Amino acid sequence: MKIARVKVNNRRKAFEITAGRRLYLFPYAKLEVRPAAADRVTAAYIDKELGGDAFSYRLESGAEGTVHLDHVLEYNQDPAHMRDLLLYKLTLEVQRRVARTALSRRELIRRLHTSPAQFYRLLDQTNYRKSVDQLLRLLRILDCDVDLVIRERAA
Amino acid sequence: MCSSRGRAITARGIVHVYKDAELVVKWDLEANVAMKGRPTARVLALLDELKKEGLL
Repeated sequence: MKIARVKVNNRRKAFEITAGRRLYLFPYAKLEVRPAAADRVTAAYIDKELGGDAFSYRLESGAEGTVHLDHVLEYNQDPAHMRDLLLYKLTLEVQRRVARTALSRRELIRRLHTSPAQFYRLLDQTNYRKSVDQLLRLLRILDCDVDLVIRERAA
Repeated sequence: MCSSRGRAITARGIVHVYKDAELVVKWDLEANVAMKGRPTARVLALLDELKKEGLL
């Protein structure tokens, strides 16, 4: 997903970013280089050097900052982005458990009823085309109980 | 003539490295692994150097 449009909204104190078919808000309060009443945002543009994955902005003082779309998606709790983050974290945990287990990789592959290639794809943290379900099955084979914890998010 | 331009952007313990407007790697500074892409040895050495200098 690339940024299609970015708009400055000084009244709402936020950027309006269009990516995919959605409009995301990103508040100035989350910026590293923050504007102030006497140093407002004068321009925002899609950063072509970053492949359209980020936008940059300029303040009246001349200071500049850049925000990556991932940061915007994370702030807005985009479901697809959050799923990828969950997959990534689960994969790192699986890697740690596989390294620690006494079971051989051949045995893990056999119990998972899969091929070696598929098994190694499961262990690849850069692969997001796998399901959470497959990782949960592997964790179960690694003698792990996975509990689902739902909690209120801190403000 | 060949010219290339690289840039990196860091936020929340993750660094995105681009070359010629293409993502080279999305790197997790805490876990020290790639989240996306395959970094070259040169990129890894640069990340390591920047981390040691406290710039990441």
